[in-house]
Amino acid sequence: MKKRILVLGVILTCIFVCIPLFYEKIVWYHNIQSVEFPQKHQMEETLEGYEDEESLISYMIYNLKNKNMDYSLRGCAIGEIAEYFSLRKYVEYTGAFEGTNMIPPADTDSEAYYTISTARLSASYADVLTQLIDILSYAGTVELIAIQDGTPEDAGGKYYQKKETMCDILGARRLEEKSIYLQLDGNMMRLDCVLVKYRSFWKVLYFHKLSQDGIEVVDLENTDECFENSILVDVYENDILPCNYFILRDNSEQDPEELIHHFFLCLQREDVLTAMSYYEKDYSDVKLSKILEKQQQMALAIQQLYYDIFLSNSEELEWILSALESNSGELVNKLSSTNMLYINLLYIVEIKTNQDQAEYKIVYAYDGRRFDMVLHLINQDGWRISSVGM
Amino acid sequence: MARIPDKLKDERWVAITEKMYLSAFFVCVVFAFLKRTILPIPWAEKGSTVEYFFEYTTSMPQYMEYILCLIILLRIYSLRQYRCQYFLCSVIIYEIVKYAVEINGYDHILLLALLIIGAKEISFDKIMKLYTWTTGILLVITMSCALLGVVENVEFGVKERMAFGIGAPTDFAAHVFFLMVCMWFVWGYRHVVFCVVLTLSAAGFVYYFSKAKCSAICLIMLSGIIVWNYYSERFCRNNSKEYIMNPIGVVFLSVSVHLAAIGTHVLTMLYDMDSDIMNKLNTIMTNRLELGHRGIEICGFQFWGQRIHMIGNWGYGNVKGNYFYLDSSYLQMSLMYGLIISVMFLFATTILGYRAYQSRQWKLLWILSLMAVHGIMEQRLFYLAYCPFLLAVSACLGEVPGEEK
Repeated sequence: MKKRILVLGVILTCIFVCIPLFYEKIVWYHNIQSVEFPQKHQMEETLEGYEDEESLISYMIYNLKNKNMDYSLRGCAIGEIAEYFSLRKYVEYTGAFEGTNMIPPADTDSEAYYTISTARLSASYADVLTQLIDILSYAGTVELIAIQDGTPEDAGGKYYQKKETMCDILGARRLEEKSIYLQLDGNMMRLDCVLVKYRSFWKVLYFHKLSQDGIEVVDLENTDECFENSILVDVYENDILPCNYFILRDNSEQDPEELIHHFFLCLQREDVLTAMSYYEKDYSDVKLSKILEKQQQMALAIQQLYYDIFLSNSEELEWILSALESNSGELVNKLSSTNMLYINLLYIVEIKTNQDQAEYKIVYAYDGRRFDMVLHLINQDGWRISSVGM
Repeated sequence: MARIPDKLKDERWVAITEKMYLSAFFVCVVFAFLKRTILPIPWAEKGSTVEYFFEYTTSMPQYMEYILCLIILLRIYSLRQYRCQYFLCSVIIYEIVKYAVEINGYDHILLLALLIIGAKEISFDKIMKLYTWTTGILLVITMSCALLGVVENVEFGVKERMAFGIGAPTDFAAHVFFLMVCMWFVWGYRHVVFCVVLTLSAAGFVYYFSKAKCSAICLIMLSGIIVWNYYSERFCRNNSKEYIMNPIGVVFLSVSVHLAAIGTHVLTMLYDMDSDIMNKLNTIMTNRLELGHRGIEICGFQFWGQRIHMIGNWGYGNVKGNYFYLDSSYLQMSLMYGLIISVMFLFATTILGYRAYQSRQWKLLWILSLMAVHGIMEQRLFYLAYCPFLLAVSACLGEVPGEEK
């Protein structure tokens, strides 16, 4: 009898464990692969990062010179900003909240927002790197002549305060301005850049002066300054930094309602990668920058979706915006993607369906009120999302 | 290797370490209980030296943990046999639970694990007497304070559900239910009629004043079990036989927690908002199926658990704003504490059933089944303030060795 109790207890314990494992591995949306790149076998980095600014700049110039967008992107502070950008501090310092014009906050360690920020930043950096690659490839010969401190001569207290503020907002340890001197077909040019240090490693923040704003701007101009020696960049040929961006896989579902259910569940699970992979994609243009730009649009649409849900209570939003500096913590909590747990999906209504297109309405409850969102679907060898509207 | 001094092994040393454990247990019970009340505790104000006790359910203080570890080490040192095996086993359990707690943050399970480990070779009757007296007195004091107006007797919602000084009406009802179970375990059948009347009165009281269906139903079940068990034993005694529970009943009651856990999970996973039957069942279970299903779908199962920020409505009965709460002990166990802790818990209840049978503690088997039923709807099984019965996993039940029926 005693043995029977123990054996049955152990068997039932095993059954109990198998049920969740079975549900998690098999039932839950078939373990969809959402990322095409980087796969595990494509993680080919040879070093974690550069501990000095000069090496990073030389690495960047080498890869830009060789039109290697992939490796150049890896030198930019994409993952770092996505991980450490503090909206709370930004609001406290600037007194402004710009909605989806900015990347989402990293204050709540949200996996969803990390993915969105990565997609948005990688597209912005790809844009600026495309400009630089175009400029450098237009020239016959490119030589890195010198790297100098780019701190303005008239830098005062405000300059250093701005640097400190930016470090605080970006969660970086240090921020430095550098002037890169390049010789393009014999012409001496100066490329200004701002570097940020996270942990022990430097990454590129801007390719312009600190006084300017925006990632997509390039500050490259002619200069009369002369230098005797040049810096050899070919030694960075074998260096590969860790991958900090992704390319989505093209996923679809055979049934439109199943697609809607999975898409909404992905949003609730903060699995933005899979949610984005359900969007309609046209990767006919295989240029990396174009792919990243399309991913940016999807990420922006999902960020908008999250913000529309979380900031749906207009009275509360008005109260937060009325004293933004003091309510910054409240704003960040409101925007936390973990709030998706409190959404109650009420029902899904079919608006119209034909062979190629469909329109569905999702009705859900949040914060004690009812809302709906309309999903436009397209059928191209499987159903995908073409757009989402509130 | 240093020899263990003989004096450390003698009875006096065993008694001292037992008293140390019971003192620590008493302190933990008092503060765990007070944590569930709305009584103002002056020494728990910010800056107070004992504030850590008050806060231990959300963040267990390091030195409270160390004190318990020290007592456990002294207890192990005083063991007469299997000292090394028990030490090794304790270290493994402690390390596993500690690691899970570091990930999921629910350190009340660490406290429970330490108390279970430390209860080895201490009389469970002694532990239960201390627990029942402590929680009984505290509940009476809390209720008195609420009724005399010392603290507010908070009423919730339109149905005016009363909490009698406890944080929420269902919490109050759960305290009453577990206290009744403890009283039955400790004092048994001295006055069976009084015992049944008291239990049924308690059921009526919590249902009428607190509208707590689950605890009321469990109290009615408890009164039924008291009568059944009493007359079964009496029948055997009259026939000069020792009462032995039906083997099927023993096995069923021993694994009742497992069955309840599996049933709860399967039912919650199968919940479909388009199914009428499921919707009716969900309404009967006051939306627990829908919330559990949402929890499983969104949070998923993790081996070491995860922090889930739940928002309850504190018994108001009407959902205002955001609401998400996993009421079931089994869903909290698998989703929040993780699958590893779930396995350990189920294994512990298996041992509990086994030991209850071995020591002919039929009441404990019935209590295990009541815990199983209560756990389907409420989250009390892992809280020391409500349920002390997991300590029977290692405490001394007075087994009958070598018995095989």
